[in-house]
Amino acid sequence: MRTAILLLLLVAGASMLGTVIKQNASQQEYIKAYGQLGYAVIRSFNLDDVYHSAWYILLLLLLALNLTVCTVRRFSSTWQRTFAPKIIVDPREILSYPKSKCFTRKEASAEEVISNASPVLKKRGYNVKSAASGSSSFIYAVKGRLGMWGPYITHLSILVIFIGAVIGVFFGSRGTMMIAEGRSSDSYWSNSSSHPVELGFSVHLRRFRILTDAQRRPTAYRSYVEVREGGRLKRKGIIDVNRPLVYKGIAFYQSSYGLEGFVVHVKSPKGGTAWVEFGLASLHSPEDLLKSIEIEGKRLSLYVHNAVPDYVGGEAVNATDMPLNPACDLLVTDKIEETRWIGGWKRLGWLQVGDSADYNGYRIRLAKAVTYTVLEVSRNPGLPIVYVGFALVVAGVFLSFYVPRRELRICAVDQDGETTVTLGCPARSADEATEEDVEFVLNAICVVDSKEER
Amino acid sequence: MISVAALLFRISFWLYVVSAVLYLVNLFSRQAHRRSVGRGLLAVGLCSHTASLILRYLSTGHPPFLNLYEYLISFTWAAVVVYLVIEASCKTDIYGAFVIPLICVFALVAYFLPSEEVYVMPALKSAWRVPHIATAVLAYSSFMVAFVLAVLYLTRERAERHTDSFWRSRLPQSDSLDRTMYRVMAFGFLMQTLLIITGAMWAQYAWGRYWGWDPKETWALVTWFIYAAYLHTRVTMGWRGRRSAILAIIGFVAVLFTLFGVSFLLSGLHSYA
Repeated sequence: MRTAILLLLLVAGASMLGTVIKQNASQQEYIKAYGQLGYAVIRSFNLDDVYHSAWYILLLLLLALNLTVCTVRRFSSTWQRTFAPKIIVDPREILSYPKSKCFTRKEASAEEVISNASPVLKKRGYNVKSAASGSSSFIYAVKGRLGMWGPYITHLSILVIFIGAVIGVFFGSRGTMMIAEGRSSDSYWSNSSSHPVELGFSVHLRRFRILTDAQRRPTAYRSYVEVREGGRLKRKGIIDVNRPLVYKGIAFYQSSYGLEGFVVHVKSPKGGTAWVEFGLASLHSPEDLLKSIEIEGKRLSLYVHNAVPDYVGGEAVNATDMPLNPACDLLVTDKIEETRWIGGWKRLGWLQVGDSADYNGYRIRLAKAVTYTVLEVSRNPGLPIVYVGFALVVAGVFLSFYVPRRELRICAVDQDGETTVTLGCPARSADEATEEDVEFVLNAICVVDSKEER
Repeated sequence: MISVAALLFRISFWLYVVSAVLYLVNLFSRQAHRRSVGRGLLAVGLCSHTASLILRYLSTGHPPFLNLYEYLISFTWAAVVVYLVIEASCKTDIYGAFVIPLICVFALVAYFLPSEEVYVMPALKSAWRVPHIATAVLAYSSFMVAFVLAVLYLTRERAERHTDSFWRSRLPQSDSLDRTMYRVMAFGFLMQTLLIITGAMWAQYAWGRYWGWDPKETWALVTWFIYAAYLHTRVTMGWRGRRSAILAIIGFVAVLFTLFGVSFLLSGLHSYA
């Protein structure tokens, strides 16, 4: 038991260390904070990643081992005490209990004492077992036996949580997935490996929306998605913060967002039209910001000089990083040679979605702004086991403290015309409530006119 | 212009202060009349406090758990309730002289914080918020009361060693203090268990992982370990009294760090304060 307490305190101390020393920071940060020597110490003991370090895991394993040993040891004794308790014991053992009484009575025999006491105890909710051996009669009364299992269940539950956690670490997976509006993805980038992981189905983003209140503070981040498998629509739903979507054991969480790009519509003076798409997200190359098109044999070049997600105009230009009002600052030219020289371009200015501007007879309109969502993807087969562990630990703690076990032993021996009665409560279950029960039993046996000695 | 709810809280704060003074004076010269007035003021203060919380809930639409101000007004309310339950069941009013001033300290911090309606971030919009913070309020207020009892225990013990009659005549018996401390701790421990679990389940829904060794999570677990050690040493090593009280005090230091230290001294996902 002392090992358990020591291990508990060691794990507590180690865990504290991981919160005081910044985890997974860069070498420069450590040297700046702790100096060269401090950094060397941190590296050699792996204090920069305490919770995944070998010695921390070893501590947890030792704790788990200790728990397992205690759990196995306790099981048979708890079982026996619940289902097959010893009723006949040496009266001297009862005397050794902290709150025991011993006295003699002349009027009643041992059997009568026991049969007087039994109904009183039963009425007070005890499970009463009696037995006789020669001239001695015994009672073993117990209440709240379920409480005996409390500590056992609590310890077992911690082991269950450990097992669930380990399964999650070895068989689970986490990663992220970035999808632009109108597009789908059937894989995600795992945190632990560098190549994409196939889902087996595809997630299509219909729309991404941020809801705001009157002060333009976000109240919800919503990804409207569809799950498709084998070409068929399987699920349609909204992924919001605190409301993940779970499909086939894989959970998708709303994590982040951004501005993906713009779609520009061009109409030439003669009536010809074209669509131009610009990508902004990091996966695209900068060249994506410059696009050239040909309408009716003539060439037109467009360049996204600047883009903001939340255009408010004026000096500030952009208010927040939420794509509430995407806008772009476009440059345009129809002179081929001048594309290399910034002076040859005409600045159209900031266009919000729906705005258009004219250039040499061309009408250029910002038709659409496309946002992308970033979803956190997680698969954890150990999760149900961890949840069972959670339920068990709550049950175990509750049983340990609020379903108290109360035990009472009575031994009555017929001896030379008088009855010697010994009565006691084993150490663990002695408390005020049991004392009340003892009083009632003593009254039932009527101790008024007899010697009372401890 | 503060709201009616905030005004009611301030009224209850002043009632608690007067009550604390009465309990303290009662410590030095015991008088039944002063005792009942002190208790009465505390009860009236609690009524005003309850009304304040209900009004705030009605006007904001959510239980008061969102920022430090809201947390403190809930925490102090729970602490007063826990204290009154203990006073009723132990039939002694001595603890009040220590617990109520301590509650006033926390209420004083709330007094100076802005009481405007709090904007609810999307991350905090979850059904788990209520049980998670409710159990936090119950756990930490219990641990605070247990801390006071532990200090009183040590005071009593020292008074007995130095035959100091001032404390001896006023504090309850050592084992009565010890038993009450144990009972309060057991309740706090159950609440702390629920706190960590509701937190883990909420984290799983919000962030996709039930445990991430975030400083607040880790410190809540550290607190749980310390109180588990307290309970184990009592049951298996027969520790009582002095050594238990010291563990209770260490545990409360951990509670303080979990509550305030993490938000203000460390950084992480949990820095909502």
